[in-house]
Amino acid sequence: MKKLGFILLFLISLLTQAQEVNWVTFKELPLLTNQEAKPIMVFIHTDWCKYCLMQEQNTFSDSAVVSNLNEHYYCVKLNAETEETISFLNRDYNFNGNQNELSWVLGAENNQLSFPTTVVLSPQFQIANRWVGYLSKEATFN
Amino acid sequence: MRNLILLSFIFLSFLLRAQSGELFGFIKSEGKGLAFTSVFLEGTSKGTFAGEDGSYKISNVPNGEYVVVAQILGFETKKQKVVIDSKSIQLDFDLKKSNNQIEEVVVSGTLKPISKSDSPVPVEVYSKEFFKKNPAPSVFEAMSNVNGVRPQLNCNVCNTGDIHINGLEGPYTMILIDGMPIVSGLSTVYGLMGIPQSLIERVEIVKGPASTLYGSEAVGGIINVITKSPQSAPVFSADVFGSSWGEINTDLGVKFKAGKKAHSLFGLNYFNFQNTIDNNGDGITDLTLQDRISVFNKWSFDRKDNRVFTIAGRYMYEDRWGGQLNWTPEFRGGDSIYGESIYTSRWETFGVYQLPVKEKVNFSFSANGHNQNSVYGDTWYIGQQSVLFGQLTWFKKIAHHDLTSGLAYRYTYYDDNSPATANPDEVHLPGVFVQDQIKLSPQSTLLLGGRYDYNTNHGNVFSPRANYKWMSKDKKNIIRLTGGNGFRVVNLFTEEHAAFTGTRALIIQEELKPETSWNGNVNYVKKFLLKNNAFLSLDLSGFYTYFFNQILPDYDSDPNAIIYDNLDGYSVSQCVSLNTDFSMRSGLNILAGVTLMDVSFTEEEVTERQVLSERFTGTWGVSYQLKKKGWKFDYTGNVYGPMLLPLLGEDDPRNPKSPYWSIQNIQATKNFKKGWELYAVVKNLLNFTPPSNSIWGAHDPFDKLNNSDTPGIDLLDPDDLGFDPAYMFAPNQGVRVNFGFRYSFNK
Repeated sequence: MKKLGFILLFLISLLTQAQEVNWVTFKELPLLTNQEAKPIMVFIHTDWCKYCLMQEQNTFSDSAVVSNLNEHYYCVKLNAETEETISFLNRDYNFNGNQNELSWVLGAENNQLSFPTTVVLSPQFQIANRWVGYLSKEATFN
Repeated sequence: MRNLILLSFIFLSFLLRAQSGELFGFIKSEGKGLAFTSVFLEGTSKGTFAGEDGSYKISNVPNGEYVVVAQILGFETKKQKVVIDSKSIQLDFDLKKSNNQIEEVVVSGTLKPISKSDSPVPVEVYSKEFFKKNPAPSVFEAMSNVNGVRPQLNCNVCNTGDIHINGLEGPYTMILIDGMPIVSGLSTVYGLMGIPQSLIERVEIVKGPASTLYGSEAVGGIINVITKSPQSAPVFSADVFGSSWGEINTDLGVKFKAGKKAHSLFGLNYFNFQNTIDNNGDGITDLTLQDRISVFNKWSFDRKDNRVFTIAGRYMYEDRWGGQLNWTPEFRGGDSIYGESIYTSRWETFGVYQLPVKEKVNFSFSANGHNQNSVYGDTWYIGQQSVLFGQLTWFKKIAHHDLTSGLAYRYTYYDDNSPATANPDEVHLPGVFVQDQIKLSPQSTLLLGGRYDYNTNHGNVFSPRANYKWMSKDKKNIIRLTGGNGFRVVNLFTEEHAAFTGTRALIIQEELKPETSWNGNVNYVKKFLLKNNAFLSLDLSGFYTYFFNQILPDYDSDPNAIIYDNLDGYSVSQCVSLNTDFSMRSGLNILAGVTLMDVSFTEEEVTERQVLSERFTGTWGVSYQLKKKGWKFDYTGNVYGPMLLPLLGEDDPRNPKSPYWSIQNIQATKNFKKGWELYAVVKNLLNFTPPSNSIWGAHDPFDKLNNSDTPGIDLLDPDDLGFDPAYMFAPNQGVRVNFGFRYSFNK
């Protein structure tokens, strides 16, 4: 019986290792935080930015990072150049011709927006931390 | 002792509870409650978050005076003073949406020098950072850093030129400013030098047939110069450099706000070069003397719902001359001392206005006037051109379809003093276009478009377009396919500088028909993420253009003339190009590109190579950044394969082919605090210049020593080949050093 438990645990750990970051949408956030209060990690990127791709493929595919993120955070991807209107926290954010307004509300630092930018929000949607630039897998999202 | 402290704490808290009140209220914006707003008393740990309906309540607030802060993402933070006096006090907040503008968008690590947009049309995007690797005063020169794009000087004396894409001549390149076709006709030859590099926010290049939005003239491709926006420009910026040859380039930019909603950007460019340098000893200036000013002003207005309204204006004046060293303006137009003197005066205005309707409809407009007063020796060319353009574009998304449709109208007025233009030439070009970008699957997109134009001189023009893009799930592989046609009406006088300079006569053998062509291209992008956080991207393209008719200059049949006629056969332009981008997080970035091309025409089953088209070009830029120390080093360059050059018949002793040639530059930039930057660049490191006999008959530009009655080439006298500056493939400017500084100030 004990053995079986170990095997099960092992299988589960294998499964979780193969997991990807569980990306959710801004729309789902209020409901999710209501169910369980967790901080939110927002990854602000664009399609052309190579360090964004690097962060996605090196950092967000690292098993340790993935399990940390999935366990402790709700993770959202924000394409700064999306033309779609995003409703989040009492407000509609539109595309302003260059970027979506939400990307600068969340990501701008000293009136400057950089890609990629990683933002952590508290469960109450307050900006808790912000990293400008590439985050390697050694980085911790605290 | 410990107990005593504990006791006094308990006592104190009782005391406080007795003398405390509570605070409650609603946080709203535009009548709606703002859930999750954080409300807290400044300087204390007391605070809470607003509930679903925007209500909040903070109890047990000790009596006293407080500043209450309401703060939430996306809204302006508000503070209110309150006095708590053992009561329950209501304090409501009405928050405004925050409207902070971004000053600058930067990209982590080194850069976004080149990127390809998300579009199925293969658009290469070059940022202003890319052009800083090898600073140049004008957009024209800056283009030499782009693979497959070659600024070609068409005239050895007056140094005017055009921009070749993939081996196709300059007139096939459409140059847009903010998407408007205001650089056409006359200005493609005379106005390109006058677009300062400092205007560039980014440059978007499409090789091959562009989207239906731009019509069918641009067979070679389009170069779209996106100007800086008043919102994103620094408050004040300056970029000044001088070269060891005596060139001075000054760029100034000032941004200001007029009222609450208007932003304005003012830009000034001044370029001056006044030295008669003749290092090759041919008696003719190596570099044309130039005195040029360009003034730019762009306005943008904040409107409701983020609607767009921008308007810009630019004025440019240039006085340039090249020729015999002792030329002065009093010899202008005379036949004693040879000089080519060109006065250009041009104004442009352009803008976009988004209509105040629910649907997204943009009205874009532009108008420009171009005045040319030039004289080549004693041959005058006085030309005027005005272009008026308006376009209404409607953007609509329906499920997987992204529709763009619109109406366009362009009016062109052209007049010059040549006998070929007895009456002013007026063309009306109304058009209608529809384009549908269909998301077939998360990975593939199809873009179908069609455009119909009616040309008042040539009738109906229909141009279909198809683009397809596929991207792999991991975003590391992208394939794009493009097909379309081209249609263009040739105006030799505005396009062919050779018509005026030199002793060759211009002969048009028959009525020139419009040029028609089909074009297809394939593009494959592969990205690699390597170890140690390195990144490599390969971007491979193949282009094929088939011309049913093309108007090509014939320099060979008669050395005294350039003959133009319709093509009695077909012509083909094909090429393969590869762009590579290698970056390491340590600060190293290598961009390198190679293009192989074959441009030929076939008449009566004989295929010949076109003159002035190379078979091989390469460009590179190696940059290394020491971020902490503020240093950056750039090594840029290009190499061109041999081109066939126009000779003056069999007796011409010059090499019929140009050699392999290369221009290389090296730059060091040092960043200082407070927005200062110094840079030094050695340009044309290898000191490459074309042969000194490139201008044939430089000693006799008016062909006066001709001992026979025939002008130009006397076939009986091998020494008399006339005056001909058309043999031209590279700039005459040798090695020089530029020193410059940049300064930018952001409030």
